[in-house]
Amino acid sequence: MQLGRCLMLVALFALLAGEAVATPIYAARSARTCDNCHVTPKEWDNPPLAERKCNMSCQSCHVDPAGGGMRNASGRYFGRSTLSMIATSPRPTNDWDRNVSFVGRRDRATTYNDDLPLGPKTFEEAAAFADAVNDGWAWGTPLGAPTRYGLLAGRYGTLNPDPVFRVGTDVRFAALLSGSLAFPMQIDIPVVFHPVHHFTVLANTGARGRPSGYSDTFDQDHSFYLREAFAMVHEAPYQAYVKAGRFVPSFGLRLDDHTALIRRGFELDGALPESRVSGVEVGAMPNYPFLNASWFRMAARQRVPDAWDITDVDDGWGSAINAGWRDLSWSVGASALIRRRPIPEGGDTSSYGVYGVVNPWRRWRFVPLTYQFEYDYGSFQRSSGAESQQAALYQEIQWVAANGVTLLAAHDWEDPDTEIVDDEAHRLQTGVQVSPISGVTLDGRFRVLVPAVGSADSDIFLQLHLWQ
Amino acid sequence: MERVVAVCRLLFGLLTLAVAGCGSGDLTLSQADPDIVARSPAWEVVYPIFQRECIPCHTGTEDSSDEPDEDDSALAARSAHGPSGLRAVGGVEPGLESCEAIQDNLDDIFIDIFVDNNMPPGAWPRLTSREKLIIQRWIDNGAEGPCN
Repeated sequence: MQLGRCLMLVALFALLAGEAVATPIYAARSARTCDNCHVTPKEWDNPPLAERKCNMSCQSCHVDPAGGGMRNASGRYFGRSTLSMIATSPRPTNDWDRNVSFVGRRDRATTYNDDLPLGPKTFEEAAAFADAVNDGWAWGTPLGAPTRYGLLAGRYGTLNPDPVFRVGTDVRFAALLSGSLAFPMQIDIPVVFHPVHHFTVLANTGARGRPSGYSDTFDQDHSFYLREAFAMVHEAPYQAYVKAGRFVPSFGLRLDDHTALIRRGFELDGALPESRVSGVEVGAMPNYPFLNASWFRMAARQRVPDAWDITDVDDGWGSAINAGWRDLSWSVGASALIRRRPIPEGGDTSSYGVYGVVNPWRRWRFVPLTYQFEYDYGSFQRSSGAESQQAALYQEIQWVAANGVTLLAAHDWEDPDTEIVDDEAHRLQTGVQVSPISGVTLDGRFRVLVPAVGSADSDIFLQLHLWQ
Repeated sequence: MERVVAVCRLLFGLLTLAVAGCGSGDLTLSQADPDIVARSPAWEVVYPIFQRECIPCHTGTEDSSDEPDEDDSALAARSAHGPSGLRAVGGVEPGLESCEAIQDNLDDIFIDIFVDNNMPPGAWPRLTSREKLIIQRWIDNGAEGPCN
C-alpha cells in the first residue's frame, strides 16, 4: 500500500513536472545560444581546441574547475544576461521576447536592435578592450604576459575577466513552513588571489546555518570554517589544472541542494565540514570530454575537522574520478569514489554513479525544458564491520517559463542500506525560482517525504539567495 | 515538441519504475547486524541524537509532566497537539533539551519515531535505522539517564 501511494504521488508529480535549483542544469541549457555567457560572437572564429574555454563544464562559470562557489566573469555574465528578469548585461537575442509581461523591456544593457556590443574576435584583439573594464567586485591584472588560456577582456562586457583580486559573497536565508523555522542557511565569503597568470589561491570561509536560530549559527563551534582552501595551477592547454588543498571531491552532479539524498549518504553533503577532504585534484576539459581526478585524506566520518587547519586529517585515504562528455544539448558522466580507512573512522566505502542531462530547448525554441538525473550505488561498512550496500537517485525537470522565472520539479530516492527493511524514502519537490535581478533569487518549494513506513509528510521551503 | 515531452516522461517513468522495483531488504537492523550498537546504549550515546535531530526545533526544557498519559482518545485527538504529535504545553512545543523533558515525553517520542515515523517533520529525512535502534534499545533497557 505504501508503494502504491508512493507511485501515485510520483505519477502526479510527473504530470505536474516543471523545475529545481541545481547549477549543473544551468550549464546544460546554456549551449542553446552563445550570447548568454559572453557578448555576441559575430564573426568569431573558434580557436584551436587547446585554447578553447567555452564548454559545458563547471570551469566555464566557476573559479573552481570542479564547480560550485565563486563565479568567474563568464558565470557572472550569465547571471546578469540570462538568469534574471531584468538583465544588466545584454540579453541573449533568443530571449528578447521571453520577458515577464509586467517587467517588459526594462533590461538596462539591451539595445533591442542590431546595435549590439561586440567583443574581440581574436586573442590579439582582446588587449584593446582592457580599458573598458569597470568592475566593482574584481580588481587588477595579474603579472606576466597575457595567456591564451585565460578569459579575454571585452568578451564579458565591462566585467574584469582575469582579476588579481576578487571578493564574492553567497548568503542564503531560509524559512521552513513545517516547524515554522527561519534561519540563515548559509553564508559564504570567497576570496580569490591571482597574482600571476596560471596561479590562483582560493579561500572560501563559510558558515552553516542552524535551524535553531541565528545565535547558534554564529556561536557554535565550527560554524565558520574554511569550506574550500586551495592553490591552483591552471590556464593551461585544454583547460587542464592541478589544485591542492581542502575541497569536496568531484562526484556526479554538483547540486546546490545539500540535502539531496544522492549526497548525504555518500559523505558529500556540501554544507558539512565533514564532507571536505584535503588532497590533490587534477583535471582537464578539452571540449567536450571532461575529467576530474583526486587523491585525498580526510577526517573520520563522524568527526568534524578543524575549521582552519586544512591538514587536520585522520588515518586512511580516498580517491575520486569523475569523467564524461558534455555536449551542446546532452551530457553523460560517470563517477567513482573510494575511501579506505579503519572501521572506527568510518570504514571502507566504494561509490559509483552515472548521470546525464537532456536539453531539448537547444533544438526546440519553444520547449524551454531541461532534464537531469543521477543514480548512485555503493558499498560501505557498518560500524560493526559488516559490509552492506546503499543506493540513491535524483532526477529533476526545469521549465524556464520566462526570463528569471523557472518552474521546477524534482524526485529523490534513497535506500541507505539495501539489506534493511523499510529504511528507504522518496522525496518529491515542486516549486518556482524567481530571480528579479542578478544576484537575487527567491526559491519556493513544496516538498513531500514518503518514507517506507509511517505517514508521508510535507513542508514548504522558502529561500532567499543573495550572491555576487 | 510532443515527441520531446514524451521522451522526457518516458525517461522519468523508467527511472521511477526502476527505483520502485528496487525494494529494500527484509531484515531489521537488529536482525542483520545485532552488534552494530550496544545492547544497552548509554545516555551519552542517545543524547547526541536528540541534540542533532530534535532539539533544533524542540528547544528549551518545558515539559508536559502535568498532563495525563496519552490514551487512545488522546491519540485520536492528536491534531489538537503540536504538529509533531508531542504534547504542547500552553500551545508551545515541549522542549527536549533536558533529561527530564525527554523522560516526560517518552511515550510520545516513541510514537513519533516508531509508529508514525514523522520526526523530524515535513520533508526532512527521518532518523536512520541505526539511530532508531539506539533509541529503541535505550528505551527497552529502562531509558536510564542522569535524571533517573
